[in-house]
Amino acid sequence: MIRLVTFLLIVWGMMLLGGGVAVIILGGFEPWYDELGFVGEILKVVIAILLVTLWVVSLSAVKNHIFGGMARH
Amino acid sequence: MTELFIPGIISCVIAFVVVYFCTPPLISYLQNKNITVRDVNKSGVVMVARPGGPVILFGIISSGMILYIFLQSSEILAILLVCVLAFAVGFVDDRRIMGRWFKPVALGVAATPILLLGVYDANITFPLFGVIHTPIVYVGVVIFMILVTGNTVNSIDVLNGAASGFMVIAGISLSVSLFILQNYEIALVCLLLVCVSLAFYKYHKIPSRIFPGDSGALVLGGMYGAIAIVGNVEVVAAVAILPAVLNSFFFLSSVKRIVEHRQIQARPVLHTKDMKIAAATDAAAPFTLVRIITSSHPMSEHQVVMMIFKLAILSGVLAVITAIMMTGAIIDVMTDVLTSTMNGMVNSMMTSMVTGMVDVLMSAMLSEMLNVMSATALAGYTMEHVVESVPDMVMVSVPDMVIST
Repeated sequence: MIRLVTFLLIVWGMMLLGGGVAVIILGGFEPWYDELGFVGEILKVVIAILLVTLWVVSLSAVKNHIFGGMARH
Repeated sequence: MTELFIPGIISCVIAFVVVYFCTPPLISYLQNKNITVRDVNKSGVVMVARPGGPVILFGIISSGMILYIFLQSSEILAILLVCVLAFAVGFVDDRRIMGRWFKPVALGVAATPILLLGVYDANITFPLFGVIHTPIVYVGVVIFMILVTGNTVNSIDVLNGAASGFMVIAGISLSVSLFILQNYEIALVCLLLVCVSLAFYKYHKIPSRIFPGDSGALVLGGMYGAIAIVGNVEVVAAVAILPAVLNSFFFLSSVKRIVEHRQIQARPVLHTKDMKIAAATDAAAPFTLVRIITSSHPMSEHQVVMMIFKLAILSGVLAVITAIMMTGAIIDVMTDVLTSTMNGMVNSMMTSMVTGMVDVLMSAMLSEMLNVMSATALAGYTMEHVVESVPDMVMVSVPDMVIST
């Protein structure tokens, strides 16, 4: 249960930090994306997918570290 | 806000009363028609009526329509339409065995009322950091949100009372968050979800008299996702149902594909002789929330459900904290604290620097004066001689300095 609560808190922290990274990368260069027009929007989609993938991979690594052998398949 | 008080009270009472009084007739009807399933967590053969989705949908639609009549809001209409479509998907899955991709794809279609009515804001707000404006990405977020919330609530519906009780807790925390963010109309819609779930929990808790089935779980999850999108509280909503989301994440990361529960060969949990739930030791068994909870020692069904509720309360508290972060109140407080701290530090540094400089300057001047005086005394000159011999003496004036403390 302690491991589960720890994992829950870490995921929450990762959500906040991941959101921050997304805001900096996607929101911080807003004028630049706007200048590119449709290509900029597509670029945003690609970056968003990459960020989410990176986030999920990190989450999976944290899960394996916290729960050990039971979580590994 | 006061004008929303009466519609809110009336619709909430209707939501609760409809489900509370319509569920027993539905249970009788389903039992008479022999539309029941076995409760696998009970010893012996215990048959339980399923699905309870129709009464959940009836409660949401009847109370939601009352709210719509009062407020005339297209957001409420979109949420209700999502509920109807999610119910249809779940009802088909309850009656017939569908393919493993049916629910994810069909639930994505259930999100279309939100997109067609345009009742969403293409900004994703993250606490502390700000907003992302992504019109194209957000269409994907709308579909993904309904899909995820519907399936995660369905995935946690494995024990008596787990799904409905979980939705009561998550719904309360989301309502509180919406009130904090001053989105009162959608907060009232979220309270309808709480009232419906609470009334249904009466019959769903241990020992269950009715199961919500896919239709019930998908209606609850779909409505929750629609509220998150329309209320622009995607991150808060995701935090509030974090245990259910993690359950789905654990499951998917262990089986590594979209799969129906009936297709799983190795069970994640086993039953002891006294019908307690124990974690499976089979390495190939899926990794789930219940398996983690019971990994230390076997537990009764009631104990596991209470553990899930405790986790839901924790994530609910985190969701409310996230909502407070989104208001900017915490940022203001942090800014004030940092500003006052920095001011204090700068003041004390400036004071010490200026004092030091004055000390050094004064001691240098005094020593120079003493040197000159001793040199003149040794040479037998008086001060008048000194002044006459140095006609270009530079007069140095020290500027006024203000030392703030």
